Amino acid sequence: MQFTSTQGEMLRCLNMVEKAVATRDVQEILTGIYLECGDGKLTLRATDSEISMEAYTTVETTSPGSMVLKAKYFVPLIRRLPSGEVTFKQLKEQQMLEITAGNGSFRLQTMVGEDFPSLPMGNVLPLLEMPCHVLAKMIRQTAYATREDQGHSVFAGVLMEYKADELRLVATDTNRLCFNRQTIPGGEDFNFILPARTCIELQRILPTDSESTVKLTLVGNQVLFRQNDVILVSRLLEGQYPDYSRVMPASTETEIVVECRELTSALERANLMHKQSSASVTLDIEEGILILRTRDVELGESEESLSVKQNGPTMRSAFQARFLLDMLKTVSTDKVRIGLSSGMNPGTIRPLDSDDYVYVIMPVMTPR
Amino acid sequence: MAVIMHVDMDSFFASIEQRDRPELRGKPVIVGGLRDSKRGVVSTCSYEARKYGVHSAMPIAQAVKLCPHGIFLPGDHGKYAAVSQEIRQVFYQFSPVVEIISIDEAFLDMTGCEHFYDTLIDLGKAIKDRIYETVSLTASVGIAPNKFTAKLASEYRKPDGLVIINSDEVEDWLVPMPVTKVWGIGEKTARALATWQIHTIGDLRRCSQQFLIQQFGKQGQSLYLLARGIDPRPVLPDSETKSIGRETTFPTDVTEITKLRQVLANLVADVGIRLRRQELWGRTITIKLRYSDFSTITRSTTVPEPIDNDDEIFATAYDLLQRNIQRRPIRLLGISVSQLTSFSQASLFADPRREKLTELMDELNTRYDRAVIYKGRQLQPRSSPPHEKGST
Repeated sequence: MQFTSTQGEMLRCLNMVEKAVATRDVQEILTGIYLECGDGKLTLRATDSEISMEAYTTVETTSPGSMVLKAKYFVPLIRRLPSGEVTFKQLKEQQMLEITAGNGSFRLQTMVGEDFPSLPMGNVLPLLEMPCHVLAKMIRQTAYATREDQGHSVFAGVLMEYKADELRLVATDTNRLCFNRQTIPGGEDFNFILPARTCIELQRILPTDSESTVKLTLVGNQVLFRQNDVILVSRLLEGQYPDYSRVMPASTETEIVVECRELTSALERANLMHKQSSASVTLDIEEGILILRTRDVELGESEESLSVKQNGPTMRSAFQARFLLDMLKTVSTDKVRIGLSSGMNPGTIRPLDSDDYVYVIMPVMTPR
Repeated sequence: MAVIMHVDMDSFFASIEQRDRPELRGKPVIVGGLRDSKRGVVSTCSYEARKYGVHSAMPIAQAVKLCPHGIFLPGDHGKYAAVSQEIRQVFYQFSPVVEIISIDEAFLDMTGCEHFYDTLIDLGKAIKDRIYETVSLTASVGIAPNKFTAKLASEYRKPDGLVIINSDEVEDWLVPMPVTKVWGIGEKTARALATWQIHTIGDLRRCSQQFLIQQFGKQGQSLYLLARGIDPRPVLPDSETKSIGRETTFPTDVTEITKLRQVLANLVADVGIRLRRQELWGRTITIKLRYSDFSTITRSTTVPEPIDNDDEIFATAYDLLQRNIQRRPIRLLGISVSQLTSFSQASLFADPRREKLTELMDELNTRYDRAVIYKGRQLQPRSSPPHEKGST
């Protein structure tokens, strides 16, 4: 195998697939990156058996072939090469790859390419094609509410559900829930739970322009995303996602409209008032004033008021400040609507002008 | 300049016994277990017993060997706690800022109050006298500019001591002391320091801040300051409960997981009801295991949201137990819940029946003041599997 590319292009492709390289040494071969060239095309692939990623680029091929290189040494080397042309040449008898760039030449040990797992593909038609920036935004507005757990419960993933031309993403850690929907015509129905980690990697490969699209397909118990010259395949989380519509309140007793930025900075100040885990902040709404209060017996207390537009009776409820902040940081509008109910009923937050993004949050119990 | 006082009751449990039973005065009294107790450890011993080399945390069996004619008592914690309460009331007569460290030890922030006395000696005498008038027990008192030095002072002349360290004397006091006197330096750190020929606080003072931080990280910073007699920790009045725990030593070492599971379930039930009574929730579950060779480990898990119900605490603790039992005989099992919060996050998908059940069980067990209703896992396993030997 021998081909010529540039340092910049090789690094761009490696950056795409690098995150799928196995970090734990379960199988030695998976700590490597697979390279295959032929017909002027180079394929790069990495997998940790949960996520697999593949990137393609055009290269000048002298002779075709394949091999696997230890990511830990290969990627940093390419990163530090001078920009410009780089030649890769397999030295078969020594199981080495010779990399020539500028005035330098480097030889790295290789592993056998045939041993590397291939991607589960085939000629499956995509179930849905959608704009990249739409999917990226939907992920940004849900994935943070997944539960960080080592186990693989359904709460460690984002529910992706497509029905009647509408894509819905839902995430919950059982304390709060994010619901996000968009009309995207022309797809076929599907329903699966995508691991939170895949969401992060997916977001990373989605370009931000308004033109690019991404295609989605299911292959067995795996999902495949294809964006131009990058493919991401991920294992899905198994299990039954709970009926989220059951916990989304149809209405709340009191609703306020508040400046997102003002509320965010007030909550950030309030959230300093705790020693352990997180601050619980009490929201008191009366006559168009929202008062935020926190108290930590060991540390101190805070009180801050904001003027709001109020609809409904006087209300008091308490939440973890960080849960409120998580949501407010992902809103793109200037104002949000917050709905609150008495007792241990959930509150809701949504952007001022839309019901497409709904955040449902349970209050905290404080001593009687 | 701050005026911090450390009060430490002298051989507290043993002194109470000697106070209440005149025939024990002047005799070596050892509290912690009866003479034939195979598993007990010394919790306190009188100064007469200390002459024989007996000290707290020593196994009773060893104390019997060192001091065969000693008087061994199992101890009455209810009585000791009541005496401790009386002493606390004395503290509050002197200062509102009292930090209770344990049943027989406290810090008092006396800053500003010193002006009511001619000298700090008079202040120390006043509190010692008041304690003696109230409970007929002696205390050792140290007065110094901060907690670290105050504790050094009270330890210096026990029993019935009163030692003042003025801020200009701190350096002279510290320099000759062994490093083990520094807060936070245990055996392990002391050994590490010894490899650098650092034995006294004076040696420690010659280390640069950078070196200490390199060697000990965050602790290095505080070592640097403590060696200079600088201790910024405030006296924390009615300091909040930091953890709630319970542990038990088995009459004979236990290997069967079924037995350990049952004991753990009972420890959890006790910790759980105490959490709920105090309206606290905790995030970190820690188990403590002491193996037959006395080596002790603690292992903990932190859950995402604070919990207070037995089922969740048990599930987390049992998982830790299974992962750490190592098929070795266990001598002691303990569990504690820490990272306590005074609020808990409600769940969107909670099962209200479980909460109702817990509430009902707590109410019944509180009403009858004993466990009248419990979970199946708390019951003795019907037939324990045979002791497994040599299997891997």
